[in-house]
Amino acid sequence: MGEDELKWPEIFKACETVGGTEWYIVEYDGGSMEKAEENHRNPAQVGQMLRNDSARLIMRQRLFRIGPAARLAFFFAAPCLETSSTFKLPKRAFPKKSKRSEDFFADRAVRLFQIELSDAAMDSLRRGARQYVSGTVREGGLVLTNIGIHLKGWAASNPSNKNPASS
Amino acid sequence: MKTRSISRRSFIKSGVATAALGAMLPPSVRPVFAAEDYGGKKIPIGLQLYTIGGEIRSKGPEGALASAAKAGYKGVEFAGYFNRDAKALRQLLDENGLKCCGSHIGLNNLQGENLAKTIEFNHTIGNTRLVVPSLGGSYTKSKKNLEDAADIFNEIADKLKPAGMRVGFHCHPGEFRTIDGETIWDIFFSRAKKEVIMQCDLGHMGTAGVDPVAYLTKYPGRAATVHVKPSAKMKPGLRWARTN
Repeated sequence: MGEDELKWPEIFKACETVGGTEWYIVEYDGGSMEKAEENHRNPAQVGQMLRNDSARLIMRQRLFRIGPAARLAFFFAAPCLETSSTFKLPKRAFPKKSKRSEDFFADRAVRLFQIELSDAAMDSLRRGARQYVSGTVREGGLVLTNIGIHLKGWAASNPSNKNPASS
Repeated sequence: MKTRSISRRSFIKSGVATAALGAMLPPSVRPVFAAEDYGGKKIPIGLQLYTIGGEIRSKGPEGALASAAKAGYKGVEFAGYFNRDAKALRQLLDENGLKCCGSHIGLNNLQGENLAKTIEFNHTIGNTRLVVPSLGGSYTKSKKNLEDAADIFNEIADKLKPAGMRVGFHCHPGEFRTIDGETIWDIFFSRAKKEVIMQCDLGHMGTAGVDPVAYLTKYPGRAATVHVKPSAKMKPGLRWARTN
């Protein structure tokens, strides 16, 4: 999701302005969701997915390129990154929540997030995808250290790990 | 573990637009809702139950609907009723805090004596959107066939209106092949009444190589529900790039 050619932000804007859309209805075809859910339910399979070569390769790249549409898909595909309760954002980086929100939504730039994990952290994620490890997240000039990171959700257990946007 | 992150459930609750724009922000700076950026409407997200057919087979609709609700979906669209009666389904929906955002219903169930039963059933489950998922070949062979089909839908729309319900038509890639220079979708919806829901399957439209925005704009106010899924024209490696 989001890796296709559809211009999702424009589509959603059209839905919400001229389309008269009352509900977005998520659908997948052909039973693949069933398989994905099996993987999602089975931690052993999650681990297996993480051990496959492609996933490892992508993880080693430590690079997550997220465009606006891919961000949409991020939920659906979602091994979301989470920030642990132990992490405190530097106040200087984020002066005020409302201002941060305004700034973010005013900026339609495609953002490039870099997530850096040590080899030990990578090993830990392979053993337990949902256990937090510490890493560094970079976006533009912003560097956030000691971020709690773990894999989460459907894509943590899915070959779509091959795709950086859903990993 | 206590966390400042956004949960999957909250993520859906916050809307698709939020996901589109904010999913990768550190959770502690993630905004609550971004739909304002797309016109200020908060559109809920439902799940077409066809998606979790395996879940339904393994857990039954009881477990499947509970899973959908737990995941954060606000509603479900039926595609079959799992041998449950309307009251049982309504109870399931209510127990899980879900609304019925639509149902895929064969055209034959909207015609003749079946229509009254269909209205009653959908009234019970709280559904107002009766969407025909596909039309048989006899309706799509020619422009005349399609115009006749649109007239049938118009008639159904009139009959559903007193019940506060609408009929709709769902697209597959095939609806964008052309007949006499016009797409099936255009022939149908240029003749169908505005009350007939144009259920755009955005993934299928992408697969067909048409621009959903162009259709949403050409037929304003008609897309009461849209199906959100990826186009088959996506990068290799993803598992969802299937169409039927």
